Amino acid sequence: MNQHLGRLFPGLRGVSYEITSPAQPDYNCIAWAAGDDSRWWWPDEFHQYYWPEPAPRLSTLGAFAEAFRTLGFEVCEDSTSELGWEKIAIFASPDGMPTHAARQLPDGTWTSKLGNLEDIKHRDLRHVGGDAYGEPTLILRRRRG
Amino acid sequence: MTGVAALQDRFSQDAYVSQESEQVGRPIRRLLRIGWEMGRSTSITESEASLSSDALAQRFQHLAKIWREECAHLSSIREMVLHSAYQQIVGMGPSALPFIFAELERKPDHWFWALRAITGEDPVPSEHRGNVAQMARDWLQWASKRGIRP
Repeated sequence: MNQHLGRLFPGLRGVSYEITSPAQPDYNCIAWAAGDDSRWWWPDEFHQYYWPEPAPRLSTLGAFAEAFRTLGFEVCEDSTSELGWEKIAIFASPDGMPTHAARQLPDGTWTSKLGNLEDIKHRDLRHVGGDAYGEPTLILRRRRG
Repeated sequence: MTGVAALQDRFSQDAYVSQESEQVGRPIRRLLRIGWEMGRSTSITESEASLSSDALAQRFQHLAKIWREECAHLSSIREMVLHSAYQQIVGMGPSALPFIFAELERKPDHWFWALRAITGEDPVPSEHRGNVAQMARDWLQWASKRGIRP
């Protein structure tokens, strides 16, 4: 296990996960969840980072739902794997600010880009929950193409 | 006047701070004004100006290391730029620019908010938004034109 990741994400300690890319700053978890590995997505006030139009540039779950709606995602009830559907989990801090996104893979596992750090493949959303990212708060889905 | 010196001169003027950087500029200008009224240096920027180049470099590297370590896992630009180490670097004002540009050249990272807050400018065209490597190149070109880096 990578000790650095274990310190940041206690949920990864003692469980199986896979590092699937080297650490690099070209894209973040939101972009990765959207299938974009070339840009950093964030609704910053200075308009310095990419954010899809016409989603509001706000750090709210509603704005994140709107951003993913531009890609065909809709809000759904839970993160259970469903045949033919691609799901995304948006994590939020206790005050409701979005912090992280993970994308469900066809085998039901999840892929997360950890800020400037690595991409990992993990079996459970709880493995990256906790102090760093809060909890998965909004689940979205779209038909797999 | 060098590029950094010109920015330091502008940084201390009320009219310089752009609308976007008002949130950052207001407390810095208030400290400057108090310093002038009391006849002594109280501002972060003036205090930084009295440090040697080596001391400034050490201070920047110390703060940048803390920021990198504590924010590496974050996606939220808001959380990153509100980190106290990052805000202290912004508080260094134009004195921090040569170090930020050296960092950007070494390894692109999220210094863009600090650069905009300090300089009041943003040379990154809208089509480059979010492309971290390209944003770094845009800022490095801007710095070269201003004589802040070779």
